[in-house]
Amino acid sequence: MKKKRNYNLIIGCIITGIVLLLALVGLFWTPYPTTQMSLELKLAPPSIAHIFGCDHFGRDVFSRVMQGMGTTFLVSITTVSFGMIVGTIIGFLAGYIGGWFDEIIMRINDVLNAFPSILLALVLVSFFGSGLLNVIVALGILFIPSFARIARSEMLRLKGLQFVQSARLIGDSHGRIIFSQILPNAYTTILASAAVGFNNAVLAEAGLSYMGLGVQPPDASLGRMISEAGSYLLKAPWYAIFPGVAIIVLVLGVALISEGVSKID
Amino acid sequence: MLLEVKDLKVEFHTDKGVTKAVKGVSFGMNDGEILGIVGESGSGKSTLGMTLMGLLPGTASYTGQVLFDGADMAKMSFEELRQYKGDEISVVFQEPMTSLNPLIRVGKQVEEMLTLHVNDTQDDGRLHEKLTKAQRKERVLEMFRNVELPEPEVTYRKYPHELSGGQQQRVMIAMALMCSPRLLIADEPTTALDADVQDQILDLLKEINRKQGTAIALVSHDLRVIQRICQNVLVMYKGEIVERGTVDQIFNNPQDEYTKQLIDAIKQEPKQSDLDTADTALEVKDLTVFYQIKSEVLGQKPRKKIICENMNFEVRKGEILGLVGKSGSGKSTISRAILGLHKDYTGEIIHHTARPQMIFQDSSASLNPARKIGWILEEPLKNQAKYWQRQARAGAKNIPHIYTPEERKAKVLDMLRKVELPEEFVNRYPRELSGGQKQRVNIALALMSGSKFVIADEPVSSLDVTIQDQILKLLLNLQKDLGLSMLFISHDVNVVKRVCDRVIHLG
Repeated sequence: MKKKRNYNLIIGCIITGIVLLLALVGLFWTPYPTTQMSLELKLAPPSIAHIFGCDHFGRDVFSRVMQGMGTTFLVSITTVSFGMIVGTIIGFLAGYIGGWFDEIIMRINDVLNAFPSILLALVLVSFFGSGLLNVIVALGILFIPSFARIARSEMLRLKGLQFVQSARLIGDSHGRIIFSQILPNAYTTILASAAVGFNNAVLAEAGLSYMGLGVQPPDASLGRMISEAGSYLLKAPWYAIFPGVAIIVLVLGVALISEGVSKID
Repeated sequence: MLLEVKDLKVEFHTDKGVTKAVKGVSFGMNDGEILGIVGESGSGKSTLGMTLMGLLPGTASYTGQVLFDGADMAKMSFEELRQYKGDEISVVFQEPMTSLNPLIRVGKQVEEMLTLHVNDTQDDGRLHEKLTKAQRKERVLEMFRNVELPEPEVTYRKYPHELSGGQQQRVMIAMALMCSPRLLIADEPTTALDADVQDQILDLLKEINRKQGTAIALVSHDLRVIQRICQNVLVMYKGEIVERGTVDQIFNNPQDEYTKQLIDAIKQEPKQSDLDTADTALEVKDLTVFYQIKSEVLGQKPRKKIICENMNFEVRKGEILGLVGKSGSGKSTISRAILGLHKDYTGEIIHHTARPQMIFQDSSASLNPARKIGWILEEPLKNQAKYWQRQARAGAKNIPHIYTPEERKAKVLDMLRKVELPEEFVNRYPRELSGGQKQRVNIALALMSGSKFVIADEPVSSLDVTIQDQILKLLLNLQKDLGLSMLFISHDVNVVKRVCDRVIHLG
């Protein structure tokens, strides 16, 4: 039997792979040092030597995009992993135990959900101070509620099924039922939403850096670059466009993966 | 000839390729005939029914001819087909609950048939004159009386969920007959119903056939259903008709090998009990099982819904005790109480054997879909090992041998052999197995921990007749070999007679 190709997954993996490769290389080597300034190259348009052009300090935009993608990727992946793991555990426990425990957890969840997430991140970051680690923690906390909700509904769907009763009969402990019997059935749903969460994290990090609360200069981050480029939008559009395209490509790749994962049966 | 099917082939086009559901079938039906189409799941009998109704999904295509009254249905336009559906041919499905719209009163739903077919221009003296609202209602009530629904006026205003399964099916039949069709296709019309209600519905179909001369094509997996009302039978197997003839011929002198299997499966001798022990495996004394219904109003005391009251019975060692009752009689809840999965009961449940286990009805739902068979079967052994390791650490004496992972794997393979499954199944996922194979895995799982008392909750009712036969034989053999005691729950009196030493009935 011929199986239909999962094109979403394949193309998503290719795009994300290229982005990751660029970002990884950017950690060790960039065409130009990311902080090398030059007066005569100030806002230079794209050329053979500087394919994405140069910024207002004469720094090579391509090099900075490579580095920025790395930062953005790191922040997003840690944020989402943190939110996913904690959220899944909380949601699973709430769904499995039920009763007042469920009630309390989910109401706290609702409270967190009631705020616009970026606003809450702003509050947290301005409270703890800006910086990469604080951005990760703040965004991570923000991602807990959505994962908790998804994990809880998966738990409610699965815990009533007969194989869970059967597991109780053969003497499985509660922990084993939750993590060995039920969790594998929820993988695809949770992973698919993790990919969506990843995209939100990319945008949120970009947003926070845009407001100057994330990555601090002279380090590059895609959001920060766009924020700085705002003042030169008409004079040097390439400075804003290329980091923007990088964000779009990153988000697109992961969105396709997410679409693909949810189609795996 | 009312209906003529010539060399009909139906194919389904899916992602995974082309599946041939019906492979060249020809037959005919006369006016007023009741034709039974029998076969197990996958035999193409339902696809055949769907084709006759023109209800094939978009992924399917067919070749060959379906002639209704001499007219080729494939050549008809959409409008012409719509005329035929309902007017000339109508259908009754298996699940009345899902076929009725839950939000519309049943009377209105049946009346819909009249409104739809009244404005048709073609006039052949039947239902094509304009009817007033009162006339329409009168017709519906008359039809409700015909299908023997209680208190037609009251039923008319009821919603589907307020009716019993049998009544819902009567409403479906009423709807199907509203325009006096000449052919009624009944696709497993009684499968979802209890045994005595099944008989009533079948009698009703027969009565309609006698009074109105409606030809009926009855599609069923159950030979007893076919035997009860049909004149002629087609036996289908893997998309082909393997045998055809009158009911008498098929039942008394089957020619085809597959037909013989089908007949054998339902002609089993009742079991002769030769049990002479007084030792009990399970005693149930004064058992009352109930559900707590939470109050919606604050401060109101929770109510109890009693499932069964003051039950007394025991299961002797090596005995198979049958527990028979209609759906909703609480059989499953009682078994869950016995296993400790349902805590709301009073009375005593005394186990004389360790680790009672259960074989569930729905073999697909009781196996973890994300795990391989090997993992699933090893789980009880892992739990035992963990338990004894904990005991050993706590300093308990008399620790039995704790199986190593290799020994556990070997035991899993051994159990697979016992339930007559190939060893490579350890690496399969449940979804790759057929229903019968899954039920074998379930049996293996129940026996894995070395349990001597097993509750089997409708273990074969979702399986095909020939597969049922195999699974029952396996259960009986294992029960004898391993000396199991069993509580066998079923709604099917024939199965119970064949398997059980003693039977108790639930009200």
